[in-house]
Amino acid sequence: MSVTTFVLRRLFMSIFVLLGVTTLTFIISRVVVPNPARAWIGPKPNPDLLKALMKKYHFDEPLYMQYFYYVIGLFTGDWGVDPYSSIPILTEIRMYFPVTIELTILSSLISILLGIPLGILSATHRGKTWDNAVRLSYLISTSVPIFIVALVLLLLLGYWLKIFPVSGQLSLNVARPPTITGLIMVDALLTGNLNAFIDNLYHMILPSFTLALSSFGIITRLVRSSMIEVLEMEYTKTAKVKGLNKNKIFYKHCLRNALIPTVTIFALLTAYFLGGSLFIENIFSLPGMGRYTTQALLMFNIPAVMGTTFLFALIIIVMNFIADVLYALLDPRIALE
Amino acid sequence: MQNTRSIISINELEVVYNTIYGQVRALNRVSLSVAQGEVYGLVGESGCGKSTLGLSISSLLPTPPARINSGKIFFKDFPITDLSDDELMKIRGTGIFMIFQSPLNSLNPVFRVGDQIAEAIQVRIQRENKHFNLQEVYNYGPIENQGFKSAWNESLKKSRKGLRNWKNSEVISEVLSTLESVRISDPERVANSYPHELSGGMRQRVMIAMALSLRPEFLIADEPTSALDVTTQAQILNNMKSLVEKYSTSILFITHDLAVAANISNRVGVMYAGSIVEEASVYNLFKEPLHPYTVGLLKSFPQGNKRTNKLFSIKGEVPNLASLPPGCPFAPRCSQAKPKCYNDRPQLIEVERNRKVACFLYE
Ligand SMILES: Nc1ncnc2c1ncn2[C@@H]1O[C@H](COP(=O)(O)OP(=O)(O)OP(=O)(O)O)[C@@H](O)[C@H]1O
Ligand code: SF4
Ligand SMILES: [Mg+2]
Repeated sequence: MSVTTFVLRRLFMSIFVLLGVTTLTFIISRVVVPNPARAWIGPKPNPDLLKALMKKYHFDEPLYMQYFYYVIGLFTGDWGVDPYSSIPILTEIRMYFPVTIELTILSSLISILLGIPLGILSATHRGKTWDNAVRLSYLISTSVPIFIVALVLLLLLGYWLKIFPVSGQLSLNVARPPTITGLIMVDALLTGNLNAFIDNLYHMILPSFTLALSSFGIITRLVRSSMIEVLEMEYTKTAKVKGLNKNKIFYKHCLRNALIPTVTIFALLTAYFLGGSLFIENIFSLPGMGRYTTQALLMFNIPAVMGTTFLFALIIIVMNFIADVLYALLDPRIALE
Repeated sequence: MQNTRSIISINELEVVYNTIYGQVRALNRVSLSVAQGEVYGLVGESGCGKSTLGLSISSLLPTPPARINSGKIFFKDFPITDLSDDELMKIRGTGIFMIFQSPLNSLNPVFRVGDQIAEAIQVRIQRENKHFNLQEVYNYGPIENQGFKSAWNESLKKSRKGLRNWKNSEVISEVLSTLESVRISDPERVANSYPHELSGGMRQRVMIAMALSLRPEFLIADEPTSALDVTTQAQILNNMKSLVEKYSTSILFITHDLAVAANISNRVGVMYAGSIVEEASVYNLFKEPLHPYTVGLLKSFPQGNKRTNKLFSIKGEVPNLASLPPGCPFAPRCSQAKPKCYNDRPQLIEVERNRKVACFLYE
């Protein structure tokens, strides 16, 4: 099987998983609220309005037709309307999502930059002080809940030492660059507004760092164990006995093999970041998907909850797909599978 | 052989593995030396410490669990056992090379076989030919970076058409001819394959090709032909012999196949429970084995037309290396054991010229 067929097959499978997700969100929304139209209007519905809504959202039709309309809507860009603000869900998501994208990308970068070198350091100094220190750090990282980390860092670096701003995306005196992509940093760069770029980055560092701090352990642990495994493999001995120099043995023969399994956890990590954004965005007052979702949950905003659930699932499926493809490209053995 | 320069000499080497069941004494004060251009065959039952000896010489013992308790190994004048990794690096490859026992995992799964052999050739060229333009070799894309697939195919075409890059194409054609010499009939395909696409026997031959292309001064071959059919095995043995003839390579040839040992070796060492119990020229050993263990071993070896259906096997069990008795390790199975054999350990002593045995019968 070539890499192309492999990719196509994975793509095909992803679509099925996606359909599964739509079924799940649909069922949940119907179980939690048998008649969302009624829930949206309030306890004493105006019968005419209710009827109109029922018609508009196809609640007067059988369930399978409702599901059909729901799926069609999802793929044609009609994700429903926020009953509180009367703004289409997709428009709202477009407003909130960029912050979460920034947060996730920054956190991934930090946790990769932290996690991979630490994992390697730990593996090459196995059993020594460095290794023990790294292992202790990732144990703490994965066992302390994220909101505790957030609060401690906020208190320490934000309120007491005042090194980082404690909330928001931009300082009050910095104007928000015109929206092009929605990502402030990108927009700032596109419009040549370096000041806004730096200010936004400065605001995002503490939340991203918090998120990264509680997740780099996942990477470190995996890199460490696979590096240890690779260092003891027979082919590493072959590389040594061939007379190759240290760097070639390590960076050419070992590292690539050791990093292959790490690729697979990026989907897992994304899921972790999206979950973490629920806490982080609330604690640091960032208007992102995490905050949007918590508010939607608290307000029983069913269309919004369905929308974010679907979006999160979609992201994770896409990340899984990317991880699979990367894996196939990096490891020649996969394509045969 | 005694007068010629020895390339490897091992002095009272003791290696233990620390396991949860206690210390396994895999090598019990082993001494041996191999002369330049000599093929030393090491035979013995499974688990007697042959691979441990090979790995000790290449300094690739897994530590932990292994530990060198005492003894020294010299490669020419270099005390291998005292060298750092950086110093060892300069000795490994063209000085000492080892073909490992398991061919399945010896090759890196993410690189093409051809590139892995080419890498070995580069090491050799880099060291042997000072006039060779190093930079040019190292600029050779496929070997140095990851985008080697297309580049490799590209250079392969060039080499076949005899176009530019003659130095690179020289490396490539050497890869192909070396593969051909180990009886791989479609070297282009094999060179372009990943290890998992090849059979165990093919991978074993790739490792041998690597050894041939390095032309090491000392080669440790740990059961290098175990996965090969008889014809191919014969060819491989010839390859190794020509390595000895052309480049006066010395070989430590580890095998449990006495026929193979007899075919390739000048001298044979018989190992039992972590000790060398007898050492003699092939001719002497097979004509007149001295040590009772060797006698037993040879009885189980069907000779010439005296084929017996029943293979002789020495009664009793291979001793547990974690708790060796103080005396001769073979004593519990030896029909000629004397009371002394249970208390004292016989030393490997020279009983005739070029003939050593560790047994109280010959003291
Ligand atoms: N990594 C290890 N950990 C613990 N014990 C080991 C290890 N490797 C080898 N041993 C022990 O050391 C002894 C010698 O092993 P070695 O691999 O050298 O034997 P061998 O003669 O090469 O056997 P074979 O013919 O089966 O390859 C054996 O008793 C084995 O159990
Ligand atoms: S020393 Fe004794 S026990 Fe050992 S082989 Fe010789 S006779 Fe047998
Ligand atoms: Mg062995």
